[in-house]
Order: sequence, then C-alpha cells, then structure tokens
Amino acid sequence: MKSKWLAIALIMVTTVAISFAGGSSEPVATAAKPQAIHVWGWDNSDLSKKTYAAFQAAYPQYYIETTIIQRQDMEQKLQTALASGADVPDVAWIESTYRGSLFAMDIWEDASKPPLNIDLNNVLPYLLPLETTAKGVYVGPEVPSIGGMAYKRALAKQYLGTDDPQQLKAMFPTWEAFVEKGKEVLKKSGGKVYMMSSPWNTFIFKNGQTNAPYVVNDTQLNLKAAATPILQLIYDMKKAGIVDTYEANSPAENTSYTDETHIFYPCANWSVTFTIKRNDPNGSGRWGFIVPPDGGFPMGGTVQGIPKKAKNKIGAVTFLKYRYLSEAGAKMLRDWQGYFAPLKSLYKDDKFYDLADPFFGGQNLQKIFAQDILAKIKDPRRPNKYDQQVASAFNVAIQKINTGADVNVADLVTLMETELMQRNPELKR
Amino acid sequence: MRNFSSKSATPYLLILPYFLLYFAFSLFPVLFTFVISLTNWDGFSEMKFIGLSNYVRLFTKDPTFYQSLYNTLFVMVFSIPAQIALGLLLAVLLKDFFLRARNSLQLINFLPYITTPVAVGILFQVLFDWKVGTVNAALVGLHILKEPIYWLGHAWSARLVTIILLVWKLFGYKMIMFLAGLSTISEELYDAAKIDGANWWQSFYRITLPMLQPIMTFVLITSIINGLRLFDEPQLLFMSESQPIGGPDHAVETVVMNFYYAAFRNFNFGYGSAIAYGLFIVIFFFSFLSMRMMNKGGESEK
Repeated sequence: MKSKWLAIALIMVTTVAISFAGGSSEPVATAAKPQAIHVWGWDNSDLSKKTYAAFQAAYPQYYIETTIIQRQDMEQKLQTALASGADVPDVAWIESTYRGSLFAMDIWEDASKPPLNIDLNNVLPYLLPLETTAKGVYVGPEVPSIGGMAYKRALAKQYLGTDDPQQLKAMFPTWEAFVEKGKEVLKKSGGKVYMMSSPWNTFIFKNGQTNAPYVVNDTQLNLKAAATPILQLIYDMKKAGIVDTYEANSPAENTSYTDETHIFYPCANWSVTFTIKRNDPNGSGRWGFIVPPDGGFPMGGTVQGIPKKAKNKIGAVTFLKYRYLSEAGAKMLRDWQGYFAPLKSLYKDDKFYDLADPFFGGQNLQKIFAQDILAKIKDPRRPNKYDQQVASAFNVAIQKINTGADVNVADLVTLMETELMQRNPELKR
Repeated sequence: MRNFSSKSATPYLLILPYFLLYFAFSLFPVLFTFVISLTNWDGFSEMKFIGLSNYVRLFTKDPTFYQSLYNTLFVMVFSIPAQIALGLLLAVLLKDFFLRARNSLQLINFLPYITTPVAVGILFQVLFDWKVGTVNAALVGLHILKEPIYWLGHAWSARLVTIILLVWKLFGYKMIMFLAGLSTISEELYDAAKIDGANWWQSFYRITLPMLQPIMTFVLITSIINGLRLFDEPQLLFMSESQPIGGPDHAVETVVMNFYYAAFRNFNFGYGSAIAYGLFIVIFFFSFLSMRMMNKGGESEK
C-alpha cells in the first residue's frame, strides 16, 4: 500500500518536472503576451470600445479589459476590494458626485510624479484643483465637463421676442435680470410658462458658478458664505413664480423637454447627447444655447484615477495619456463621442473644436464651449469629503422652498448646518 | 473510556457543514461587528480602538438615531396592523366566499410581495408624482382635491406613501400565512357553531380568531422584527437626486438606512456597527415584549 502511494507521488513529480523542463527549452520567438489594463467604469458603448481598439492598435503590448460598475457603486466596490485584498482596477472612474469622498480615501497614485509623469503643464489649468486631492495628490485627467444654458427657440421667440442667442445673452447680463424677465414671461403666458422646470436646475447653475468651499480647514462649516447666494437665488425665483416644481431628473421632468411650458435648462457638453437629444429625440432645430448669466461653469465630470495598488500603472497611464492628453486621443474624443480633451494646447487653435450642431439650429456648440466657456472658467470649488452630505442637506433646503413652505434663507442655512453637525460631530459652525 | 469509533463520529460529521457555515457567515460577522463597533475604522486602513465612544455618541449625542428609530416605529405602528387586518380579511374571504377562484386570487394578491423592490419604488414614484402622478390626477379629477399634493415632498405625506407601499407589498404574505392557519381549523367547529345558530361574524370572532392565535403570534413577531429592519422600500422610493437621505425632512429615514449611510457612504464602519448593535438591542426588546404579551394572552385564556 505504501509503495503504491510512493509510485503515484513519483509519477506526479516527474510529470510536473517534465512540463517545466519542456517549457524552458522552447525557443524565445513568440511575442510577449499583451498586458491587461483593467478599467472600472460605466460606459460600455460601441464608441468607447472603438476608442479602446484604437489604443490597442497603437500600443499592441496592452489591451483593455472593462468591468462595468455604475457610478454610485464605485465607492463601495473599491472599498470592498481594498478591505478584502482583492484586485483593484488599473483605472477607476471617479464621477463628480462621489469625487470628494473617493479622493479622501487616499488610495490614489500621484499621476504627475514618477514613474507615471503626467505633465501638468499640458492640462487645462482650471481642471487641476478638481483632479487633486486635499493632500496634493494629482489623481488623473478627465474630459472637461462644462455647463451652459439650453433653451427652446419657439418659446423664447414667443415670450421673449427673440430666439437669437446673442440677443438673449444680452437680455440676461445677471440672474436678477433673468428673474425680472421671467416675471414678464409668466404674466404674458397667463401663469403657464416658466423660465425653468425645477429649482434644482437653478441649484445646478448657481452651485457651479460659485466657488466658496462649504467646509474649510477640514472641520469648519462655511455655509453662510457659500450656500446663502445659492439658496437666495432659488428662493427669489420661487417667490417670483418663474420656476416650476419638478424634481430634478425625474421622469416627469424629463417629459418637460418636449412641452411648451418650460424654456431654459442647464446644459453640459455631455447633456446635449445624454439629456436634450435623449428626452427630445425629434427636437432637431428646436433648441438654442447661450452662456448663462455669470458665465459657464464646471458641470459634472469623471476623473480617471490610478489606485496605488493597481498592478499595471504604467499601462494605465499610457492609456490615459493616449486617450486624454494626445492630439490623436483628442480627435477620437471629439469625433466619436463629442467630448473635449483636457490638453491645453488644443485650445490655442480655435478651429480644433468647430462643429455646427443642427439640433441647436446650426449653432457651433463645440466652439462656444471651447472658446466662450472652457477658456474662461477659473478657480472652481474643490472636491471635499462632505460633498455628498452637503448635497443631501441642500436637498432638504430646496425641497422646503419647492413646497412653498414659509421659510427664509437664513433659517435654511441654519437647518443645513444643524443637519451636517448632527451627522458629523467633528464639524463646527 | 468509550472508544471514538467512526460510527459515533458520523452524526457529528454530517451536521458539521451547517455549523461551519453558521460560524463563518452568521456568528463570526455578528461578533466581529461588535469588535468593529469598538473602533474607529474606514474599512481599509488600520482599526483604531476607541472603546465605547461610538455607543456614547449613539445614545447621548446623535439625535438622528432616535429620529430614525421614531420614523421606523411610526411606519410600523400604522403599516403592520393594516397588513395583518387586510391579510386576515382576504384569507377569510378567499376561504369562505371565493372557493372557486381561490387559487388565482391568491396568486394575484401575492404578486406584490414577489415584485422586486426596485420596480416597486419606481412605480410608486411615478404614481405619487406631484405634477404627473396618477394618484393626483385621479383625486383632482374626482374633485376630492382642489390642488395636487406634493406626496413625496412633505414629511407627513412621505410617511403615508411609505405606509401604503408597505401595506400593498406585504399584505399578500400575511394572507398566505393566515390561509395556512385557516386550513388547520377543523370544519366541524364551524358546523357545530352553525347548528347553534352562530352567524358568520360570530364564527369568525369566537372560532377563527382564537384558533389562529399561534399563527398570529408568529406573524406579529416576524412583522415587528422585519419592520425594525425596514430599508429597501423607503430607500428606493426616495432615491432620486433631489431627495435627501430618507425623504423630505428625513421623515422615513429608518435605523437601517442610518446605519447604511454611516457605514457604506461615510465609511465610518465603527459607528455604523454601533448603530447596528443599537438596533439589535431594540429588536431584542420588542421581540421579548411581544412574546410575553402573546403568551400572557394565551395563558389567561387557559
């Protein structure tokens, strides 16, 4: 019995030894196997895959493997992977809503330092604070996401007297002028037509256009300075009756894009495809675009971060440099997906982003975004780990305004402060 | 000394897998959660032992815990009796009056229970939408309301919608439980009652209800335990970008929701674990109380 087990063991050892020996005697003529670059993100469209294929053609030593993870799940997936010791991706998508808390996790490689060496002088300056953690780690590049104001041409013509973007822009030099005009529209339409569909849309504009931090020095709330102007504008619009009561991005609000009772909407470069055209697929020619009062602003955005524990950081940064910080990548982003690139040098040539959009009556949206908005954004609000909670506190306040409750802005700010301090005892007024 | 033969080891080996799985996936997480609750931990960096500080904060400095507990109990107090009453009523009606169509009616009434919470959340968001919701359209159309109500925008209406959702979703499960219980009651009791001149209501009150007491105890205790663990439905109903955590004024933020946001959104696993243990204490207390009350009721009848 004992000799039988010994014989089996000897055969197994011999087999293993032969297989290793056989492997080492093979000639070294075969090409090295391409290395995988693992990307966690939520875009699995054909256009994305086309971009990956182009990168793989340019860099055959790499190939992209994507895992689809929705933006709201990215935090937990990364945290679970880190806590359990499982593999983390080489590139993780970090959407703006969750950017503050993801940056605060302090798990990111500094992509501007060796060996990754992204040259920050090549990146649009306004993006750098949005892509850098509080500890000064540059996380990675992103497609610039900037917002302006879309409008329905027919309603603008009927109630404002013109649908010409230059004339409309001149009509609204400030938000106060916008509110006053809104009152006229309301009166003219017998109370039926609103300037905006949702007070949350007003929030999107004003929040993006202001840059005072909500929390300073890690624990000091700054809501009186930072939140008051935002809530005041929402309150003034509600009081004037020029903003409707839809909830942001609700199915009901999405149907308002095709109605004849709401004129203006926030519109990022990505909203053109994912919001306006999606909600109004037959609306070609019906829309116009202007730079809003107080100017364009950052709106959304997804940073591409390389975790410290990624296995293929060099591959990851090669991919990011190709896709976002090269002219070839910028052309793909522009031509295939209608996106901008963060490469600063491109914006010196005002012909690089130059495309009329028939959906917007032939307006050259790319040029407007590139020259009138991107080039003029300065010093945006930096991501902070309390951003999601601040957003929830804003929702409480905006909801109170939306219901028509008898409130004033100072009380709403106090309510927001109380709420944040209850959930985070380290925060102070 | 007894020899440990393979025959006496076999039963232990057969039940070992269950106990291994129980230790690995039930007992260890429960105990480890308590360990985490004594620390300050974000889930991936080093744990820092802080003793009972999380519990001190939970019970003495955090009004959101008590608010979430109040919200949970409020929803339970109104939704559980309604679920039980409706479930019992339907069970009795199906048994006594709808014998032929019983199977299909059973299935129809059970469907809400097996509908995925995500779909239910979206459905109720659309039904109770302020501007275009079906409920407002119907109530305004029938002149019951002059103006549509912002159902998902006020604390009182948010709780009402949540209660309606829970009753709708869970009464079918109660109905099935009661149908099972009704099937154990002998028909001879009802026949004897008929001979004695009892009407339907008297039979229900004097025979059906007392005979259903064991099932009622089970349904009530499990409803209370599940009610205290409420999370899915309010979370999905108020998950849109414009809603704060737990709906308007956090009116339906439950204890489990509070724990979820503390642990998995704010990465404060230590404090989240303390909330979980706080909930455990509450569930234990309520389970103990319900069993004492139900058993006392049973004893007094003897």
